[in-house]
Amino acid sequence: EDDELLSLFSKEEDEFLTVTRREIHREAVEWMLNVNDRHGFTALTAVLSVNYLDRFLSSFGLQNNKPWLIQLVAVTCLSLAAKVEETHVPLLLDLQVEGARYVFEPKTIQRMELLVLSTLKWKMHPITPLSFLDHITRRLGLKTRLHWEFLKRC
Amino acid sequence: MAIAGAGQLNLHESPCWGSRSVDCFEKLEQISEGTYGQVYMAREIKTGEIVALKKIRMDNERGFPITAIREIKILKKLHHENVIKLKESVTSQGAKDEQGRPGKCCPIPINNLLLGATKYSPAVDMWSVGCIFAELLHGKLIFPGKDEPEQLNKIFELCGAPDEVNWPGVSKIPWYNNFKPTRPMKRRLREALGNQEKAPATATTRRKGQTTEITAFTASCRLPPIQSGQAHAQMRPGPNPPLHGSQPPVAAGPGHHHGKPRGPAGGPGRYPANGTNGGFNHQNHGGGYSSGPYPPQGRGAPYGSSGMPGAGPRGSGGSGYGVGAPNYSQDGPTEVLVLDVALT
Repeated sequence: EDDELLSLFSKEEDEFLTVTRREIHREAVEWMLNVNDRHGFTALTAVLSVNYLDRFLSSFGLQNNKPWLIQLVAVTCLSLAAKVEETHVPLLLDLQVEGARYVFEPKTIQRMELLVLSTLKWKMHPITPLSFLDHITRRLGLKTRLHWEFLKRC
Repeated sequence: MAIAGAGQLNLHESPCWGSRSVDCFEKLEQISEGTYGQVYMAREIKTGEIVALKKIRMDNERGFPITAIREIKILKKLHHENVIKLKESVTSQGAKDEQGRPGKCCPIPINNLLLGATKYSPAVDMWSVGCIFAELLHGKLIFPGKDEPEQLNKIFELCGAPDEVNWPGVSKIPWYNNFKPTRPMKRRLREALGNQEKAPATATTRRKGQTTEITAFTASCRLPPIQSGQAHAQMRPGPNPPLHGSQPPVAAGPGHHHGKPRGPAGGPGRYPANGTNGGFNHQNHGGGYSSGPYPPQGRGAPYGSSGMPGAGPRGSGGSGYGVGAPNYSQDGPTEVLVLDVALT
């Protein structure tokens, strides 16, 4: 009977953690997209940054006792995506806007960048939905400026 | 695995590092040094393979250098026997002693794209492209300075010295007064490189292309930074006109706006009167990339060493490893590039 009780507690906690993790993840992604908008980054930058975040978390995991960690990972992934894709990349401090709950020193982010790069095995150009969009666009022969404008805003 | 950051980031629990340590390689000798870091010939201990090891310097304000990110991006895409292959990125601890050394010319062409800029910009890329074209035509280094001041001087000798006439606003750039030439220097780019059109290697059928390259070089070699709406447009898919034929604008925008996100208030970059901005949507980007005084770039950025106020955070950070591939490989394209990033 004790075992049953333990099992119930354990399951309850698992569910709670899953929901919490999902919520933390959603908040992080929302924040990243807001910053992406604020700096006028491209859609690809947004997609890349979320891709990095998800890949990193899937091998690194989220530590619940470190609420700042997800924020650090988020800003790091955004910084890396911007460096991969953008022409103008803001200072690390200027990336930490839009209600960032924690602000990290650039040096801390730099270290995290290395951890993320390593964890992602330096593979910073994953296939994304936009890759397919590019392909489809070409196949459909969409060439006018209007088409490109539309796609840029997707 | 002690890589804690700022006393806060305790990553002892880090389960995975995707990168090997630089200790897998034994440094044999330094091959060259640029503003971005040093390049070593090294041997992989396990296999005995000779590689080039490039140490990347970190930037305290901006983190992992964008130039290194772009280098990796580009090298992964390039597959050609004359272009070094990126073999691996490795990390290291420490190496504080290696930061902040003076820059020097780098004999590896591909690295020309990557030499550290205080403010990375499309103009820097265009300058580098121009330098590479010129070196391809010339067959040797065009600005072989031993150090940054000397290199800057070589640029002035070839491209002419910058002044308020050919580069409005230049005298307000912090390091201008430290390095402005003591005597007037005329631009003699065409004289120096123009006869390359008669070079034996230039087949008749290639003549036209070569000329275009010279023009491109001439354009990008202008000391005023190239405000490259066009250049950037080349990097994005879209109906942009080709770069050739467009004159480089001489633009000095209203300073560099870090601290502010891009927005319409970012100030109008001055674009060329002939309007070759090509399809690029400026609205999206808030009035252009801004353009502050980007310094000219060559191999070995001619600025940024000590004594230059405003030269930026270069060298102030921890350091990283980044070495380019050795050019002396006799057996064909076996060069590799190993990025070694310090975790100081």
